Amino acid sequence: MNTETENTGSGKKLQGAFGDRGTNVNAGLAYGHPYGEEIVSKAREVLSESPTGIKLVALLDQKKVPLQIMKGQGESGFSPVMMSIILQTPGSTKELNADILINLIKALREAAQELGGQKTPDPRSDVVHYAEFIHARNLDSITFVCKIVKELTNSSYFPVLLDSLKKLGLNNMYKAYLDGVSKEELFMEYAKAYNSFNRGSI
Amino acid sequence: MHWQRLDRETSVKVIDSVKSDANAGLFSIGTSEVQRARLPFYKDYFVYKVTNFASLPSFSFEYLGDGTFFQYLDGTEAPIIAVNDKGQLNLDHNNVLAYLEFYFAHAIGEDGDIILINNPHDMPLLESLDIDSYNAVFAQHKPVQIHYDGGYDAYEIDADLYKDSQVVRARIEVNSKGRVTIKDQKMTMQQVSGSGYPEAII
Repeated sequence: MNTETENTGSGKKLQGAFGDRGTNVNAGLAYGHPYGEEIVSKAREVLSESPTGIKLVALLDQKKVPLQIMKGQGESGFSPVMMSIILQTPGSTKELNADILINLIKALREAAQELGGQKTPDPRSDVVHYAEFIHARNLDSITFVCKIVKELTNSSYFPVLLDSLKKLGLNNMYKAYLDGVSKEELFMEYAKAYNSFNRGSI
Repeated sequence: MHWQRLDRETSVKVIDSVKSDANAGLFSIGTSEVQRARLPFYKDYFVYKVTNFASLPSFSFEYLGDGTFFQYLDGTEAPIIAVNDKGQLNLDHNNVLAYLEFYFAHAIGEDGDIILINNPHDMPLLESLDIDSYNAVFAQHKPVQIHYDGGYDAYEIDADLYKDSQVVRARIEVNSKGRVTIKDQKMTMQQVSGSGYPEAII
């Protein structure tokens, strides 16, 4: 896993003391998170307490998937187009929190799937097939989140992970996972959570 | 907020202004769109949103800008304060609440998100509460009260806030430079169950 938290730019453009000779007055915009390295380091530490987490991180280290922690409030996740993991968290975040960790686990699993040959289809060629693929991948990666959270039951981090699952509307899916329900029943819980998100609520 | 999608030429200018060489893939002109919304409390500044639709999740970034200068909304109060200090802020009795809602939505403190409950009937996220919490929020809700203190040139706002999984009645001061201070707060509901913010990961 490559950790890229700096936003120094490539430095390829000619730049004067106040930017690129006046053509871009916003050249100083910075996206890298000031605590990105600490957040990633702590995430590795927590994931090392989970056998599945260890495997996931090892695979991504081996494949050198870039991981960027960016300041911001937008979406986080794995981008199959850029083949990198982008995590956004407010600039005021000073340490790892459960939301970041859950997003990271989900993104790591999706990256592993992509690298394992389950390539994301082009949405422009068949949008229905694309939607089916995205839902199947979501279900798989959230199931992996549940698996790792369960493995972290004895970790000091477990209570905040449970709180975060609840906040994200995934607590019923986690309960279903613990109950060992069928894949179909797990999908039903996923569908309920998804519908809840898309009503504008959690 | 009423978002307006910008035309291609203007979008390209905005993306050129805010893009980062280190994250060129996130600011691809071919797969991104730019939206803009007016803010009633700023004279010449708008909020801009750049969204890359190349894949799911769609990564998005928001800015305060006048079309030339942009401040990245990184989840801290710094960009808001920077624009305020340019003399752009024009607070009055009619727009101070909109400012406060915008501030809480974009300046995330170390303790996490704060949501101002202005009209609970217009807050889809409350639908995610369990029935007891949902009823209690409505039963205990009091309308927002705004008072201008000429001596301090500041507004005092009494409002219900959702923070730390609790609903509190708070007195918030917003001064003419847009600095926000929570001066007093009293818990009205502890441990709201099943609540959360729209931080969809699915």
